[in-house]
Formats: sequence, C-alpha cells, structure tokens
Amino acid sequence: MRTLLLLASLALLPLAGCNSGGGGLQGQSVDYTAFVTALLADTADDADPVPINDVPFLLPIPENPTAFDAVLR
Amino acid sequence: MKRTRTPLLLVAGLALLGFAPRDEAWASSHREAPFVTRHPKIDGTDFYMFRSYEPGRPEYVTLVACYLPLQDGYGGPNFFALDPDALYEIHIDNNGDAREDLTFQFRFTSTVKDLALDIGPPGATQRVSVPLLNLGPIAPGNSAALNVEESYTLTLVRGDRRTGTREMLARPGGQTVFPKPVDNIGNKSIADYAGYAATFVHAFTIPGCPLPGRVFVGQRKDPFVVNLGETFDLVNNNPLGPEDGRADDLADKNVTALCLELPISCLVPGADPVIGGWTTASLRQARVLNPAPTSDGSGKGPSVEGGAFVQQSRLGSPLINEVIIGLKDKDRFNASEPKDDAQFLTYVTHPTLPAIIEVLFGVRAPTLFPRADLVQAFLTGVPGLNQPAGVTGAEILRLNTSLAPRPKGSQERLAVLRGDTAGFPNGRRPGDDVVDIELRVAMGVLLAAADAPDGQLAYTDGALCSDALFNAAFPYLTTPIPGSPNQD
Repeated sequence: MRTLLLLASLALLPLAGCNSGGGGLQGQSVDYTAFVTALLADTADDADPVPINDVPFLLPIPENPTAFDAVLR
Repeated sequence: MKRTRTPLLLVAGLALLGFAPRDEAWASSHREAPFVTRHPKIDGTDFYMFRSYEPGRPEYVTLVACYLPLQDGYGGPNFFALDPDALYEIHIDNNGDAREDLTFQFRFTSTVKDLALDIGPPGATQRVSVPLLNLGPIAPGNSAALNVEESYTLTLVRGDRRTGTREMLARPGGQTVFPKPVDNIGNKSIADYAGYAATFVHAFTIPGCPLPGRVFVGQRKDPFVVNLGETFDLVNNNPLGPEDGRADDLADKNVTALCLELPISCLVPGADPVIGGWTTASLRQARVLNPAPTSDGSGKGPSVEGGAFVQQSRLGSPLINEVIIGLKDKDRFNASEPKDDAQFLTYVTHPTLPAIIEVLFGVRAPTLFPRADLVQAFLTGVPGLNQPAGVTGAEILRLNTSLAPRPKGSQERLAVLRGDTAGFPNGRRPGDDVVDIELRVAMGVLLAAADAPDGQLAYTDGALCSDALFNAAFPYLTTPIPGSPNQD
C-alpha cells in the first residue's frame, strides 16, 4: 500500500519527460531528486521497495550546487 | 544417514516441490557477494539453528546469526557497532512453504554520551570532547566510562515480514530496550570481558507463549572454522590431507552475533516438528550523503535514509552463496526470498564445485545429474530426518525439533555423516565441521559408487572444527579476541 502511495505521489510531481500510460513507474521518466525525496519521506517498516529496473531516471543539472539542500531540506 | 542411491523419485518430484529447473547454491558467507562487501555491517556470515544443548534447556531451540566478518580485535577506536539504519532479521518457516511465519527483527541504536575533559590552565579551561570509545575501565554492571552506548529493540512479526502482525518484545520488567555490550576493546578497559558480556543475556517474554526466551547480541570469537586463504586460492592445499593439518584462518577474528533461545512449543504450531530458519539484513532504499554533517543537533548527520527496507544479505545453510551460486548471481541471491528459489535450482542440481575439484586434483566428480542428493541436503530436507510434510524446496536451514540434542563432548563433528542426527544438515551446531561435510556431500558421499567413484574419500580443508571449540551454554559462541592482550 505504501508503495502505491509513493507511486501516486511521484505521479503528481512535476516529472520532466513523462511518457504516457502504464502502471507504476515502469517506462516513465522520473526526476531522480523527486524520487529520492519521496523515498526519504517514507520510513515505515511495512513498505515494499519501489522497483526501478525499467525506470529511466532524469538526473538534475550536473554539479547542481543546491542538489543536496533540495533533498535534505 | 543412510546412503541415498539415485533417488529418481525425488528427481521426478522436483516440480512437485516447487522447483522449475533453472538455476542454484552452497554458504558460510564471509564477504561472499560483490555488493555486500560494500556494507560489512550487514554482511551475514553464518547462521546456526539447533536444539539447545545447555543442561536443563531441552525445551528450547537456539538460533544464532553472525554479522560483520573478519573483525580484528584491535579495530579501534570505533570498533564494530552494528548499523543503526539497518534491519536485521531471523526468520522461521514452520509449515514448510518457504515463507516466513515468524520473524524476529533487531533494530540498533548508538547513543553518543559525548564524554569530555576540562582542558587548559586553571581558571581558563575549555570543555573538550574526547576521541575515544571509553575513558576508563568498564566492569560488569558499570559502563559509566563508556562513550557510546549501543542498544536494540526486538520485534516479533507473525506472518509476512513486512505486513504481518507486529509485537514489540519486552524484558520481564517491561523494558523494550535491550542493552548491547561494547566490543572487547582490551584487557585494560574490560578486565573481565566474559563476566561483563554475560550481564547482557536478557530474558524476554513472547506474547502467547508460556515460556520466556533469551537473547544476546554482542561480539564473539568468529565460530566459523576454515582454511580460508588456501580455499580461495584454487584450493591451495591437499583436500585429502590430514583433517587437522591446516590453520583456521579465522582463529584470530571476531564477529557480532545475534543469538536467540526460543521455546520449541512456541515455534511449532502443529504435529510436524520440522522448522526452517534463515537470516537477512536490509537497508533502506534511499541514502543521501550529507556534505555538511552536524554534531550538535542543528542539522542532519552524515547520511539520511528513507524508503522501504531492501534486503541485501541472506543466509540459511552454510556456504551456499559462497561456493554454489555463480558469481553473477550472488547479489541477486542475497536480495531474493526462499519462496522464489526455483530460479537458482540449476546451481544445486548441476554444481560446479565438484568439477573444479576434479580439475584441480584429479579426483573424479559425481556423474549423476541432476544432483537430487544435494537437493535433499540443501533445499528440501532429507525424508525421515528433516523434510517437512508438503515441503516447498528452498535454501533454508531445516531442523527437526523432535530429535534430542547431544551435549558438548558427545557431538560428532561430521554430524549426520557419522550418525549424529542432532547436527548438520539437521539444523547446524557451532561445532559441526560444515566445510568437510559439504565437501564430502558435494563429491558424492551420499551417492552410489557407480555415480560417484571417488565419493567416499575423506575430503577436508584441513581446519578442524568440533564442539570442543565452544561453550556448553547459551550463547555457546566464545568470548571475542581482545583488542589488547596485555595484562599490565
């Protein structure tokens, strides 16, 4: 259930280059920072890991000086 | 154990046991997979499960999960605390379906006391934090000089390890925090380490169970015995030499052991006395390193973790992932669950280790395939010994809890191969010489001579393991090697 909530929350995030259709994250481009931020917010003990094998991650601008702040805020 | 002669019925029944022939393995498990070597604190090294042979404890089973391999006693100043961001688990399957029915979860906390000294001339001193783990001697019942206190919680999950019913376990006084001893820093810091560590054996109550359990978590002398260096140097010793002719390369190493003693009556729900056990360790899916960690609580520490727990280490029977599973699949095996072990079956039915020994030493490997004898020894349990009714094959250590234990001093180091059914592969005791046992089983000691022409040879790694190396009482594993042996 928590995995579904995480997937749902990611779907609402401004994901650059999203593909249409499909369940979960498979095939969709996902903003890596948003993905990690959503994971960090979930520290439940009963969650299932999010499958990532078929998820193309979009990485933020290289050497983004605010990347850590964005995630750790 | 009776010789198993070409158990064709078992071979034919593999599909009925839940296997669709594909790939599988064999694991004591020090640094056995590439990825787990990056995370030594969650590297499971050995798993033991046996009827308690401490006098007066016949109604109990002992389970021991060892982690954090190859610890040198002198590895200060931080020594070998467990990972406070990890989840350590011991699982029990009590109906043979390769799924956990009971899971004991350990979560650790390290609390820095920040011991400090007044430094500077009188009247102008400054309070400065010390760099050491302790600032004076530590004794049984007196840890005031210790700079970091490590503790843990123990949770019992009934059913699925993530979605089952969770109960936090407590000591008889109701405390849910279990103190953990500091590692064996040395004889000047802890003069009586054995006495000190003994005070950390805790009783705990199990809801719905009339008998209490016992738990100990702490550093121990590494119980595994193996000629490690030579073994992984293309078996750089004679495997048909003396059984005690080589050194135990782990003789001066420590590990950290999670030890449970549990009432059999609370583990076995019905008439079938066979239980299966294994241990896992997991990390959260996300970790972000903090480029500016804080130490005063104003910000975050060196890393931030989040997301679901993702399994990184798995261990049931000894030496499976180490010498059975192919290198490319070792990380995948560590992340897998027993219920999905059909994907590894070929590694057991068509093992590479006998072929490697044949090439290296000219002895003849078994010619019978698939190796149904190995399937019984490592995946399904042996019929009439430790195979549960309706078993689903899986790499799980299986124990028939109805078989009486043997006390220290009367255990056969080759266990079932020498008629001692209280030992490996019926569970595993610390004194079972699993390297020699598995070498002989792999080379065909359970097969007919026509199928394993050199199967009756006395294969050995030359490092002798026996019950003489261990204590006669819980937690059985012995006092860790001290970091400093000096007595003056």
